[in-house]
Amino acid sequence: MKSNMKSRIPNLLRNRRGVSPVISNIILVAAVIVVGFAVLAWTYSTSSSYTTQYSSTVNSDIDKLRERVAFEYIFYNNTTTPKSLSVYIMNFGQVGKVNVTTAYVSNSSWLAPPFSNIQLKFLNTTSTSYLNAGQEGYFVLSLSSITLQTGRSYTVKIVTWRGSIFEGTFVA
Amino acid sequence: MVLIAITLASSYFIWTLSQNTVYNDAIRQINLLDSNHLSESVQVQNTTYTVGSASLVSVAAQVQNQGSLSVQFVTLWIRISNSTWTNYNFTGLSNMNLQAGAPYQFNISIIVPGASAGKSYSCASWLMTARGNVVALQKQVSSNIIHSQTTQGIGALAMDFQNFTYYTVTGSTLNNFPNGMSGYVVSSAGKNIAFKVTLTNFALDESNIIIYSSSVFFSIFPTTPQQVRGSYWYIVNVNEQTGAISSTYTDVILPFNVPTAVYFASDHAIKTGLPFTGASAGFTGTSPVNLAFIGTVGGTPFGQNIPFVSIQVNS
Repeated sequence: MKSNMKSRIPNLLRNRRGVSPVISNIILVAAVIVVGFAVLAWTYSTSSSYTTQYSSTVNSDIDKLRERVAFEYIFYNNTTTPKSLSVYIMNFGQVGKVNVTTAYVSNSSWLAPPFSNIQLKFLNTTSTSYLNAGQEGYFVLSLSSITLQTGRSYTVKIVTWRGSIFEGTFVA
Repeated sequence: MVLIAITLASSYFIWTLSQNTVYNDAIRQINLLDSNHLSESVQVQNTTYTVGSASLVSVAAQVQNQGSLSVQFVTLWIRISNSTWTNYNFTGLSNMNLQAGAPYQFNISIIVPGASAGKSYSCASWLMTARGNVVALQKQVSSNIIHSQTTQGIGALAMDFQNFTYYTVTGSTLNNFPNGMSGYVVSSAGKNIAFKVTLTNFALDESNIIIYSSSVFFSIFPTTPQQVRGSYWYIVNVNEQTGAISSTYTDVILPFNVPTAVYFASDHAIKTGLPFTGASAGFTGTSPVNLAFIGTVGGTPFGQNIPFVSIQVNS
């Protein structure tokens, strides 16, 4: 048997005829299937990452659009040292976890330096990181180097971490 | 390959459509929220403020939902100030939902530290709705009469001549309370008498008027010369539910532009050690009546005499 095989291999190497069409088709189809699955797998992985990013962006935009903040009252206290501005707000939007990252105080011709590190509290003075839908809260801005003119109109602008901007006006 | 490409393209297209649908739904909900926010319409009438003892400020008003949606009020704010002082406070409101078209009368007291009765303040208050709207509680536009001119001319207190009532008194209880009988014709039959007048405060600065116990309702009966025949009834407190006269007296507060019933029944000014004692007419005949009030308006001394009533006392 071994001597028979040894005699066939040189014959095959010397044989100049091609593989049959059936065999070649099988090889080609197999190659196409393998490459096709490889492309499919690559496409799925790429598009999955893309769709995840896109969904996240869309949801983030939707949440930003759903944010609504109303100003309940803004009270300028010029009897304390330092003077302070208490800003009472309510989240009346459809999304929770609304906080205030930056606040600005200005009037038509003047803008105070922005306020950051804002400590949000519920109306019962309990500290909170954010307001959920329907909740009311407040924060106090310390106007250590700023004096507002009594009787003049000012604007408080707040920016949330989602990037929404809300404005309220008050008379000092 | 073609099938794979078609499958991929189709699934991506469908996914894109689903994302678009999610976004459109969100926009639709936000538009509805904004539309509802803008649709709220609340009318406010008859707003009054009373600064009582212990820094308690009462806000009374009638609100009516004129919009097509129900309105939920979540917080009432009040801010009071005078020339040198300002303070504010708020209170959460529960179960204050107003269906479309429904009226609602409320009287809510809030402690505003530093406020004290008898002083003159400027008050403002507003309601927050759950949809984020601010409803200002504006003061009542009181009528076409120019009150300021009237007040400057004859005084801050006005009497309602259509609601002038008398009662007979048994012990310390008003009989036939609260209806009584017309105060213009009194059948005393020797019994003690009490009078009820309805007063409205039209003070120029819209501050409260506080009436002291020395305020008196008195009449002088015409008679022969050198003989003064006077009858008088000092101010008392009456329980508006039972008609019982209090043996002690607490200053009556007349808020601006709120008709308030005031009773006169005592033989003397009620004070510590001198509790209520009933008073009778004593005389008969036609007599002019004077309402002499002593107290404060906006924390400053106040006195006014209302002389326009006459009564006939029959035995």
